Amino acid sequence: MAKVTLKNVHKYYDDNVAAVDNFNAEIADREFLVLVGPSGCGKSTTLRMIAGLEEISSGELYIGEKLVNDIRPKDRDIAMVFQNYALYPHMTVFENMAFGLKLRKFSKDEINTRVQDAAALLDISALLNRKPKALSGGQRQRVAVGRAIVRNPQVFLFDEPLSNLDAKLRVQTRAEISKLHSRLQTTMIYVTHDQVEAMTMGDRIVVMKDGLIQQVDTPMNLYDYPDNQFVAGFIGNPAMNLIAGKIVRDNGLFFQAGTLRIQLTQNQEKLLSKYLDKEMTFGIRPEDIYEAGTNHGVEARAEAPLTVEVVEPMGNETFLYTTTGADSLTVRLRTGSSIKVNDQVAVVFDLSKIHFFETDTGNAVRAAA
Amino acid sequence: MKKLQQYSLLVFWTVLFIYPFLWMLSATLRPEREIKGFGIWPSEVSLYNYAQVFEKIPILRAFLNSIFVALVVTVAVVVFCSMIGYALSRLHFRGRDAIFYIVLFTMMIPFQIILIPLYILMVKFGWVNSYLALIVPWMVSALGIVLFRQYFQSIPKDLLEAARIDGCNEVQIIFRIIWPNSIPTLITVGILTFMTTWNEVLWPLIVIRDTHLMTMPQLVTIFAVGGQAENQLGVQLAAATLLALPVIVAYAFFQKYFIESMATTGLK
Ligand SMILES: Nc1ncnc2c1ncn2[C@@H]1O[C@H](COP(=O)(O)OP(=O)(O)O)[C@@H](O)[C@H]1O
Ligand SMILES: [Mg+2]
Repeated sequence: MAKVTLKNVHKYYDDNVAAVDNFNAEIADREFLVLVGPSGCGKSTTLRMIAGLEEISSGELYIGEKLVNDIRPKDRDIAMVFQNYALYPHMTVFENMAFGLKLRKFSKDEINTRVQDAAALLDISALLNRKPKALSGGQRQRVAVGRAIVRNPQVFLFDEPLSNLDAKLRVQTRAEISKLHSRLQTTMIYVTHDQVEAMTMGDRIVVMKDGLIQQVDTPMNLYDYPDNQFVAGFIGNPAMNLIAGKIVRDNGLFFQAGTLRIQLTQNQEKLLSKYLDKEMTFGIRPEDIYEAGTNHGVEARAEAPLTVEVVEPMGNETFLYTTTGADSLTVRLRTGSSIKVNDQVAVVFDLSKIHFFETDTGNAVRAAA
Repeated sequence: MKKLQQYSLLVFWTVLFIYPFLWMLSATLRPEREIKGFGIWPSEVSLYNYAQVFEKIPILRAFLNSIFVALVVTVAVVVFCSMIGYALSRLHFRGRDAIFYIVLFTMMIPFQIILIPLYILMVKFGWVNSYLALIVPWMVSALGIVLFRQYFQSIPKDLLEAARIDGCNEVQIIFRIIWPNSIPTLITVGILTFMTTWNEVLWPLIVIRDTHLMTMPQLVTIFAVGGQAENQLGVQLAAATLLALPVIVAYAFFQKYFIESMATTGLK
């Protein structure tokens, strides 16, 4: 068990564009850290640098207190689960799991005990004599995890380990990996492009885009206090509504985008007065919009008329995909509703939950916490 | 009806192709005076021609020489070329592709061009008339390197990385991960090398003088062309049959892999 520290880590491939640009993070001992971001943002590259599979172009990487930049993967005391599992096709499940121990000259008994224990933990004891070819995707995934556990490493690295599983198995395995984490009490670093996985599994999440860290925080903080427009749009499903407009003055400050006009609270006025007549992006999550007139119990001063284009009843909730002028808004209603396509609905916004971003930089504008 | 036509055509070609071999085989089994025309049924069968071969030349010794040389060369090619193929396909270092193109280029050079320099080298090393001259120059082959490189490129990167994390060094990766997953290619390169080495005549003729160091094709050629066979066709053909036999046996044995990997390496 160990913490992992990255200081000013950069990765340049041949083309001299930074695949990872100044990555700084301290991953605490026993933490479950998730790297999330769209495909190509440098998550795998970061993970592979931690594993030692990719050279670090500049910067420092510590595992525990030890600088490991120039230490080979096998001597870093890490284990990795690959997206395609990377099981050795010519070995049985047992041999796959035992291989790393054999190379490290563990005794036969020790190897046996460890493999059997891990197999029992992962419920694959019955498969030990099979070759990977004869396993289902879910079973292979478990073997890949088993191969990592038997070594009892200081740090586990996962690179999209669930993306080849079907939806149901993915949800199930997600929970199992979380359980495994609390059971093994080891530092885990987990890469995914799926924000749901990130939200549900991570103690903390690193959101990346184009090689740059966008924000590092706990899932709930990312959700409630996104630092910028990208994080706001990336975390949460359906995504936060983001509408570009302007701050205007007219008996107080308003946010105006086409026909949509929202009066700001006093606190927001203070915060946003310096942005008068500037381009601003307004953000609100679908669940912070309520049908006007219903008993929603929020202080909600802004109302807007919306045209419903699509209704998606999910049983316990209903999504409305609506438009107002040129902008579209997703609304999540907690109850069933009789609203139909092409209806006009009036909604109110929970102004305590709205976000503002500078349109040009994308940075969030909010009071210093 | 169409099938019938196809099959008859196939049978026809097969017979056309195989007939000379059958004729040769039958010729070795009959007396000299009967070897004429196209018939293949001997009126009487005798092993006289074979007995003559064993009597006149040390063919058994040549057989063992050939086996020894071909085996050593084959093992060396498979080991070294797979290592080089691995480096050229899976390791990253400056000049890697340049090296590969040079290797490719050497395949275009006809053997006749390097024959004399190579011979001079052998003389300088004092290897003429020794196994070293038969073996060492052939321990690495461009074709072997190319075949291994091409195949290794198809092995998933993850597999090698998993092995690296598990604790393999590069040599262990080659022999414990790559090899077990490249069996058809190993066999193809093995067979190709074995056959080429086995059939080689020109080079042994140049570097070997001592009859006891001669390989089988060399000995048989000298026997057939030189005066020893006394122009007896049956005896010459018997020697040639003995020469072809091990190759045919080896081919029959590995045929499945051979065809499989010929198809997968794209070498048709
Ligand atoms: N071996 C490589 N050579 C050159 N560029 C690479 C290599 N691996 C990744 N990249 C580039 O680096 C960037 C980040 O890649 P990666 O870390 O794999 O993204 P992610 O895992 O977030 O999808 C991408 O633009 C990708 O094209
Ligand atoms: Mg990736």
